[in-house]
Amino acid sequence: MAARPRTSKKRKTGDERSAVTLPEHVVTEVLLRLPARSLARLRCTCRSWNAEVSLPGFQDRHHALAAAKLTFLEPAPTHMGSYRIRRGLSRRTLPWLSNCFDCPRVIGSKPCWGLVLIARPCEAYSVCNPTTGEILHLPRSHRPHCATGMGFHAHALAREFKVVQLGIDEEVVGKLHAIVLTVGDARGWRAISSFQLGLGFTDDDACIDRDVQPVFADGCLHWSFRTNYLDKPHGVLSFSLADESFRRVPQPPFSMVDLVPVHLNGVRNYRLLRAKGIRSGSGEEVAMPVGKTLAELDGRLCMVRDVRHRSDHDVLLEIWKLQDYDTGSWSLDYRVDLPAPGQRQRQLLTAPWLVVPLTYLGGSRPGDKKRKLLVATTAHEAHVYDPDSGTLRTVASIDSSGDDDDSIRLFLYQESLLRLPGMQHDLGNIKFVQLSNSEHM
Amino acid sequence: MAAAAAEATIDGGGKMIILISADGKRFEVTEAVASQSQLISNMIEDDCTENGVRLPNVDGDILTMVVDYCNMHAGDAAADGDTTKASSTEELKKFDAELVQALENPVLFKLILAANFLNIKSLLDMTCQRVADMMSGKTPEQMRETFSIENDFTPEEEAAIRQENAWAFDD
Repeated sequence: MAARPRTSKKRKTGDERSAVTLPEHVVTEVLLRLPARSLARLRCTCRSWNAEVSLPGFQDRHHALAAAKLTFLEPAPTHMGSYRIRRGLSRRTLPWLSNCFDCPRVIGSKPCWGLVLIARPCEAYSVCNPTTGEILHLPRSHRPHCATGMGFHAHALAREFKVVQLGIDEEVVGKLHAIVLTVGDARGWRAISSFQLGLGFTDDDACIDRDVQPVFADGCLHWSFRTNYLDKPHGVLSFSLADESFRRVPQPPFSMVDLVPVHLNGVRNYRLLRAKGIRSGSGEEVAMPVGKTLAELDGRLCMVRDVRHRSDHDVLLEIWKLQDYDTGSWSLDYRVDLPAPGQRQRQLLTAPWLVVPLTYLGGSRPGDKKRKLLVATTAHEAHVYDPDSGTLRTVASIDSSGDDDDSIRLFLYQESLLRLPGMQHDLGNIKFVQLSNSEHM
Repeated sequence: MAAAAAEATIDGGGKMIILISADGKRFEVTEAVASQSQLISNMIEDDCTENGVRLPNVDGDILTMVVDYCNMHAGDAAADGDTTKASSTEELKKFDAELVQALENPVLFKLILAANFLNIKSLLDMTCQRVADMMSGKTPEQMRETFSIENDFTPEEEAAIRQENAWAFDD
């Protein structure tokens, strides 16, 4: 451990109680276990501790040790927002005043080092630290886009946060454009150069799935995209934050199997299907299950197979893990299986529009099928699934009657003291509510 | 390393080691119990525990607690050993909580020093957590008192730093 200059030494007084002095590295071990609030107070005790708590290495270790807590982002009361809309194919935009829905929203499946990317349709994007209540307003991009995401990468000893916006060109069929912002970089939004990839966008219905949260895993941001031909060539778009390049990851094998013919009378839960399209060969009209979302579990990119619409099945969800970017091979990692007798429990997962996995609980080995799974739903509830007993336990339920908001507002949050240059102290209408501790689930 | 582990498995950790505290108290423990201390584990590997292990930094009353802790947690380490002897997770949690709950400075600090010297990671983690729990919720003034810290900020500096961390003071 490198010695660092200390402006003051902790001094013993004549007091009997202080006869025992702890060595510095042990004191650090104690401080790492303090809640962020106490550390902020500790900064006010003396210079040397202020210096210690300000070290990036200390803050990283503190964040890593912090317990993950379920956190809820409250929807703001109805308010108006002023927008700019495009008319027809014109590049000019017009001002427009309208109700602001789904505001504010968390973007991404997990916070990055304790920072959360927030979208407010009535304002520009911002990055928040829910621990300190600080916020950084990002510059507006002035370019129509359909998807956003935030990730980070290590750049010359420091960590760079990048926000990426994707849009699909309406003028050139199937052309995707992307701009990137390195947080804190004076250059602002930059177009991603040499972006001429054969992503296989061959029809004008190509789109990024807006219901599927972008997922940061393996140093890449991932979005789910599709075209009008639901059986091809849709997949996962992967953006590397280090070299700012895109690649396409093929879908897991279930994607084709799960397409449901739209005319089929046997399908009861139309609600659980979406994105009508056609089969490229036959032209038959098909739909895909709504809950085919992305997730990051055990640090890897995963895709949820949603079979909730199949009433003949005990299995509701499967989790598939990407094994290899190059070969695009996926493997079945986990199953959520609630036998029919637990009808009421099944409803907790089949009634909400979306169910997203947050994390595996217990067990230390990836691939352990005995682990519990924490999921959040668009009903603003979180449940723990126990594969051993085949049961579901509700661990959070936010009364959302009266609002028609149905986005996932629950996420797992670990405290962080991270502060980005330019952060301010006014969260405005953004309010985080801390719920239970995942260690006790 | 591998040889030492194999030996412990063969005799079931039955070989005894004598620990001697600073004030000359002697504790007889099995190798399996003692080797939760990385320090002693290394000594066992180097074959230098024959005449007992002298621990000049650790008082008898503190060593009593450490030995109790190690006896209780011996089951963790000997995973494939005698499972009937291994305590249940619930029991362990209760034991750990009771061990540190009653402790105040300076005994708690002495126990931390012992865990640090003997290099028993789980005991060090637990005792550090206890001190952190005791500190959380305290004002800067109370924290200075706990760790005997002198306030070396100028009044202007202190006002500025309090302003910067104001979020931690609004109750």
